[in-house]
Amino acid sequence: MRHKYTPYILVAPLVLFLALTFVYALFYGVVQSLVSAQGAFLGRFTWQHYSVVLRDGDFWISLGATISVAVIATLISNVLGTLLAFAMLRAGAQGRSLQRALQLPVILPHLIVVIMVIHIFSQSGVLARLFWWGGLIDNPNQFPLLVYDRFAIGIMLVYLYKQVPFVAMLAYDTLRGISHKYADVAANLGASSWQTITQIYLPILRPTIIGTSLITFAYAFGAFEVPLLLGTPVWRTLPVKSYLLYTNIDPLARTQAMVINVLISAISLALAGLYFGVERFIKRFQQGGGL
Amino acid sequence: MPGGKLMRLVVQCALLVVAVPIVSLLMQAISLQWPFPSLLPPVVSIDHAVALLWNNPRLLGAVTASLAIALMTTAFTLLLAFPAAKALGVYKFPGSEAIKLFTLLPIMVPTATVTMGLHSAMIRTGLAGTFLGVAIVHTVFALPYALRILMHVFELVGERHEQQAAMLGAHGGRVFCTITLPLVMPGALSAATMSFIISFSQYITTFMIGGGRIITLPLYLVPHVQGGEWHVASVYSLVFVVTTLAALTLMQYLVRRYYRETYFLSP
Repeated sequence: MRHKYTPYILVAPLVLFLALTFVYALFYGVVQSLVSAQGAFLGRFTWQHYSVVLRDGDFWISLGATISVAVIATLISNVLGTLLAFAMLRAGAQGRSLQRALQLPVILPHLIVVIMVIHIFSQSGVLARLFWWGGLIDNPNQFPLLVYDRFAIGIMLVYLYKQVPFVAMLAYDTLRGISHKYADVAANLGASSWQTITQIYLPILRPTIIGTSLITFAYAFGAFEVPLLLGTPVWRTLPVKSYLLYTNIDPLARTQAMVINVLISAISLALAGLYFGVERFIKRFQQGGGL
Repeated sequence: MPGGKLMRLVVQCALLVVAVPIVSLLMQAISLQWPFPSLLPPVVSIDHAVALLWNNPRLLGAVTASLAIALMTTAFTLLLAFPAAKALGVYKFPGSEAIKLFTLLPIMVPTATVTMGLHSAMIRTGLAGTFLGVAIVHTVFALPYALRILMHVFELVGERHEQQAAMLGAHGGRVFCTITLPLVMPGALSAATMSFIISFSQYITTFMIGGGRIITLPLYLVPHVQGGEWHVASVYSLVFVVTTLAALTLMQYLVRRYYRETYFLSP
């Protein structure tokens, strides 16, 4: 009935499209980052732009900051999201209504969440006003700087407002999908609640959490408008830094932007590779009788 | 595990955390001034908000551009992802795992990075500064999500129903319209919703590929955020949210009607 090549014909348009856009974009960045300044493809091969970027202390600060922000946001949102999902499971009908409410933060664009975070956490925001009424501060300047700050707290608050609900929704779906029976059997056999969580629930949640961690990390690592609007000029995240170099009138700066882009892509792709490696390892482990 | 009472309290707190920023956004939109220590705006009026919305051709242009680009992105994404999802979800063939991995990659690489790599090619092909060009770039970032959603649905649905229909003599087009499409429609709706939202919230991709000629809602909004005009920014944010919800509700309604009229049942 089905021809041998049918699946290949069905995936061909998608693969071709991504080759012409996504793969081309990465390839173009690599080529541009490796030619000397005599212009586009006519230039000669050189590593000099890489050595310029890698010797710049600013680049390493940006890299460290970008990765730290992404790792911290990913850890907090996945832990809080999973805990919230457990609470929702135990809260019955209220948990189900919260799941509907959580759709809103997931749909809201980051840009609007940026405005909300400024409303609430800036030095004249809602929280600062509550502090004033509570007699904790006398004027706005005494409120700690939580947006545009050096520690990227404002940036992380935006990620958390969107990502905790995202993780909670998916984890809650997974938890509701499994039968109570497993937990009941475990309890019958004398398992403590801690054992039930670590031996029953967490293994079932693992694929979901690995997936959400990947997505939350990738977003926090590559976000643009959030660090642009809420960041400090003291340091820039890598995507913002590379964009500012790209729009610089100096053509050498543009080449350096391409170098940073290649390094960003390499880190992202390595992470995707790691994800698939881990996923495959877990699958093999489970099939091998581990679970 | 701790009792249900504590858990309900946690859930209620979470609801509060979700709601407070939204309420504060609404209050900013209707307050003319809201000086420091007051917890509620002293002067409340919707007149200014209405004046911002009424007779504002630039805002109308931004809404139209956003909608047009998001609809184009949704159409491109579904056209490309639908057949691929069928192949990857139903058939197992040499290379399918590699293709699944490859199609996930655009999620991982930052949008700004990919857009910079495409920028000069878009200028050379004349696609920069056009709706089509912007929608093509948005499609790159919507595809991985839409493909995953559709693939999952095809995995669940399988091919048995289609084979049965074909066995009974239905030809390809008829099988697609009466069997495949109704079965995967809920998944297609989720994929369309996702693509629409991703396109609607794009900032840097539209900014670079649009080249200043295409102003969507996020581009219209950002200068007001940078300028600290919170009242104006809040009003435009609400326009953003209302437009998104209206478009998504309309999509949902159309799918429901399709089911009702064609099959006399609701999904």
